[in-house]
Amino acid sequence: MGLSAHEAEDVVQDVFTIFLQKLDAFEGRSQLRTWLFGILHRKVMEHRRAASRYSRADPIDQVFEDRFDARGSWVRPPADLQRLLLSKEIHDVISLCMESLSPDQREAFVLREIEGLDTAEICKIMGLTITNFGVQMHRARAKLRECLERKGFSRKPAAFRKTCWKKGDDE
Amino acid sequence: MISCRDVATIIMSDQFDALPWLRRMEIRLHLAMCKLCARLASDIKQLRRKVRSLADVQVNPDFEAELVRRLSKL
Repeated sequence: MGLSAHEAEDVVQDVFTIFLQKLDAFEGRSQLRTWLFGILHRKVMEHRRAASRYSRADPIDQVFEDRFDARGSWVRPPADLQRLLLSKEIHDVISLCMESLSPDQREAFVLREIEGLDTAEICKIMGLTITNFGVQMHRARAKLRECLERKGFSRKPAAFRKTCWKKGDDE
Repeated sequence: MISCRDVATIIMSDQFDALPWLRRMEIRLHLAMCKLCARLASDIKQLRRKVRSLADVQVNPDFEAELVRRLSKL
């Protein structure tokens, strides 16, 4: 059905969840197998719609990929952010960097990192599959990381603002 | 053998806990041997602590009274 193994697992779990929730509504007019495949079809369609909404190309994906060689080893390793993370200005820097996230990325990131919700709760709130939640978190963290690394290497705040990932870059 | 890209992707995607036990062990082993991936994982933990402290928002002193006023109108 055009899904990865992980996506297919998500969908099948959804199908069985719905099956159990709606078992009382099953009137026996079709075979149980037909009913289950009907649910499966609708979930796959929903998944494809959600995937097209959340998997649009984002430049940060390529920025992340460019950090590795063909074998998956680091060619641009993560910079040491210890000094920056311990600095007094870190909160201001994080706030500024968070402006570079898209609304969906920021929502996923805030629900997870600030509100401390678990993955299942966030997926339910945002109508995401686990896979799509992972994509949003990956992009959010990759953007923050790029932004913080630039800040860590630039001495003047003004220089940081020029080089930081800007809002709208991903649209 | 798992690559640095795979490990970094899993860490950044917040998918570690959802993985099978064997895969998690493979990643833990990689993190024990790879200083760069370990640095990434450590930074993400620290960043989480810093970001959580951003949640300490100062609300307007009248916020509570205003909330009670609005609720009492319901």
